[in-house]
Amino acid sequence: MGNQGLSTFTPIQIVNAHLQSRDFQDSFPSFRESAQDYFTKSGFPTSKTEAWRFTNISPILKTKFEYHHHQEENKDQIPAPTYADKCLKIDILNGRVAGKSLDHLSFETEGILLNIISEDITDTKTVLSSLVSSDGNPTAFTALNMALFSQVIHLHIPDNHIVSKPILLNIFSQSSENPVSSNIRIHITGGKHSQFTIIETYSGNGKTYFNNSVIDINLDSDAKLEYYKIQNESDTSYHISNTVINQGKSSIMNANILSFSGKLIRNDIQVDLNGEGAELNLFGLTLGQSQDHIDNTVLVNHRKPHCMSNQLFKNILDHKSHGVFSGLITVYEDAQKTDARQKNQNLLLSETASVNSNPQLEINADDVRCSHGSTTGQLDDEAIFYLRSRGISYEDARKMLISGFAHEIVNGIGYTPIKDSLNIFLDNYLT
Amino acid sequence: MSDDLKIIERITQEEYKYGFVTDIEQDTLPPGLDEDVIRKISSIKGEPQWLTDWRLKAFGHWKKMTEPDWAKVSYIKVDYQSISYYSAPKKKKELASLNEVDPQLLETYTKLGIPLEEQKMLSGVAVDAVFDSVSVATTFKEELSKAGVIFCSFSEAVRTYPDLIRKYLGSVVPYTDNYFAALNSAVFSDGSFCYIPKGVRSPMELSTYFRINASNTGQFERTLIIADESAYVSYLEGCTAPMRDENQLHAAVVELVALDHAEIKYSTVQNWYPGDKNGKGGIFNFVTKRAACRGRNSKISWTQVETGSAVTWKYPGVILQGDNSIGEFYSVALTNNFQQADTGTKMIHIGKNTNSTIISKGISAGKGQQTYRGQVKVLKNAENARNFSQCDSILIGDKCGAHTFPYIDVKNKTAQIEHEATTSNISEDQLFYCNQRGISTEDAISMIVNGFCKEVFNELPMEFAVEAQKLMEVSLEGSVG
Repeated sequence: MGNQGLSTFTPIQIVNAHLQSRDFQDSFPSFRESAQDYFTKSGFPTSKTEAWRFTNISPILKTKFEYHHHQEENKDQIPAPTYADKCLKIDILNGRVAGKSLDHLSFETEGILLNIISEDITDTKTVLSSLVSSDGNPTAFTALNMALFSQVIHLHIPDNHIVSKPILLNIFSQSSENPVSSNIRIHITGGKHSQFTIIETYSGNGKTYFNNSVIDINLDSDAKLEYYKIQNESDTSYHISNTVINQGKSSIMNANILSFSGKLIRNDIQVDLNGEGAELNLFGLTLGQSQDHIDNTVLVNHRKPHCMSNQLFKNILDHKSHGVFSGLITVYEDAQKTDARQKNQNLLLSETASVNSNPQLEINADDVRCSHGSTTGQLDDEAIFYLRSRGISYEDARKMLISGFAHEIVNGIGYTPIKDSLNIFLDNYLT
Repeated sequence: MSDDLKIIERITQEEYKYGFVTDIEQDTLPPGLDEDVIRKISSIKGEPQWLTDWRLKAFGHWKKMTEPDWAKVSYIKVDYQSISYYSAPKKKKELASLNEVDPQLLETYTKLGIPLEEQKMLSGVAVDAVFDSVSVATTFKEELSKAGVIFCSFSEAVRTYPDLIRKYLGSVVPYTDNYFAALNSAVFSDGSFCYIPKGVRSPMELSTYFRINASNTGQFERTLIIADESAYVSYLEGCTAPMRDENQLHAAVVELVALDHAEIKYSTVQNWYPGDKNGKGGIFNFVTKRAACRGRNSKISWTQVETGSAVTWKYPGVILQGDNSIGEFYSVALTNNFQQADTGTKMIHIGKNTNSTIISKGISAGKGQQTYRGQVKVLKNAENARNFSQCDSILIGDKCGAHTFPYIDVKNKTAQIEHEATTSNISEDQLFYCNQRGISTEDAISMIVNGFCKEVFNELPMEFAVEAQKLMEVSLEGSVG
């Protein structure tokens, strides 16, 4: 199909075309089969599907996209964040690794196994079969990804390894004539007692494009991961990401989901606490402006005793932006002594911004401590008055209060270059 | 904790105390539902043509709908053709006083611990006792009519005040609203009607006791309460039902309307048969309750104590239409054995400066499953809307579940919305503290559960608060002293 060059298809058309095409089924057959299974049984969600009530995907389904299944030449250098040279960088252009700029040696030196699988030749088959099983329950977009991806990026941090530099996945989308759709597939496995940092950044060339990414993270016992997802997409872009995290015994995951711009962003994050004593700290900050639609849907499954999870999602929404937080904590029967917290706070800055907050708890064990909270409001008039009566201008007072609202997230960011760049974003956002 | 386990075992094995069947001859339609049955119900009740037509339209709509399944409850689907849709005690003549009431019927109430006469004398509560589908006794009517308050059975209101019924029936819960509301609109049997005229404060608290009795008779109550400008009424509703092995369906509709400056306080204690300890039998309680604060400065408050029913599916809501209107929801729900409850509220903020409060307390024991499902919606023009929600759950035993599904949808930046929820068990520390001071584990659990529910019980009228505490005792017997 890739040879058809500039032909464009809507997601539904491409699914139908691909699942029937013979040579497509030959690559990654187990993934394609799962996709086919899904699409023969069910299709794309509608606004009546409970999980998609607040996010309308019809603009994505109506757009005709170009799909790149083969390596392109990258003529220009791919833009990267300022701290890129402090990181182990993988450039990903339109869904595929840009080989030229990849420094394999630096990964080897750090002891990281980096495996870019473009077809399932025999020696990668076992790796692949272990990967597909973690996608046990596909949704429309993970199935779409399974039908269309052409490359798997597999990162493995061996047991007892402490990686000194952050690993940067610099994902860039570049549409030329037609909107491009990329199906990015990344699998990360952290061995026992490993420690590492992953930074996943998304940006684009300002045109319409559609990123459909699947990130699969497996942490073995006592592994520790600092994870950042930074979405700074173009304001006409669509972004759907499915992040599935599986945490082993006593593993620790500190994750920050930072969404700055995108016409439609939907983050499906699922964390399974599958080992005793696992700990999850999951924070999110959304800076919504113009017509952004940003939806964070988070499932946290407490499957084993003595696990801890702590979620805090803050949405700052200006102009006509729309924020959605939908979180579900499920505590399974065995998961006694669970400590689960979930908080969503929304700040509406304009008359036309809106928010849907849907924090949920499902608890099937009795010896647990679970709580959730949700607040929505505007800037406090009294606080503004307090500052103004002390000679601070309205604009400055407003900035101070909004930065204060975001502070809890910003301050919790461990990697300083990201904290600095977040502060710059926040400054730009407020002026 | 072996003491606790014993207590929990005892709780979960407790039989329903109020189970018995009263033997009274009944006029019952054969099971089944079609247009003829609806016409028959309508003609038995001597209804005007427009109401018959309304029922038929509702039935037509119901046939097109499918039974919803989004609630977190599981049950064997009801066969709507095997239910008898009308049953009335044989004696049809209007009764002047309680003395004329069938003594067996009165005995039923005595067994339930709600003797009509005693209540009449002691509490000053007017009781409109609905025994199955037809009202058999109405007390204090005279006193109420002196104040201008209309309080009668729904059928009587259709005959006597057709204009009011026509104006308000279905205006809060239209028959198109949901599957069970449509069914109720088609076949509703009887219920209560209440109208408080302008500027009147109802001289007493109004109360109706519903009781399902005849075997295989679904109960389709319809309640309509209207508080005209600056009126006030407090309405109480309580239920118990006899023990039976077959599931019985209850699909009631309650509509409340408050005009300018009016206030309605609606309190419920629900203790229908929850099924036995193996989850056999029990009432299906699929109720649509909704209130409209139509006028400026109006206020409606729902208070409910739900301890009965095998499956409860109920979301009393308030539509805050009038500026400065207030909606409140206070709830205690207890599930034990195999009981399931999916309950909560909807607060729809439409007017300016509207205010809503939600306090929900859930207690789950045995294999009970409990869900709070609520929505707070602030529309675009609802300036300065304010909501506070608190949903707490206690789990007793390791086989039960407690779930919280709030929906918060805000389209106006001046809104101030807060929601918080916690779930926990009764901690060993708390029990230890009590034990250490010579309080038995049973008494300690009782104290803790009562304290947990206090915020809601405080909202109940006095007589009801006592009954509610008694109900908690019965429902958690063995631990609550």
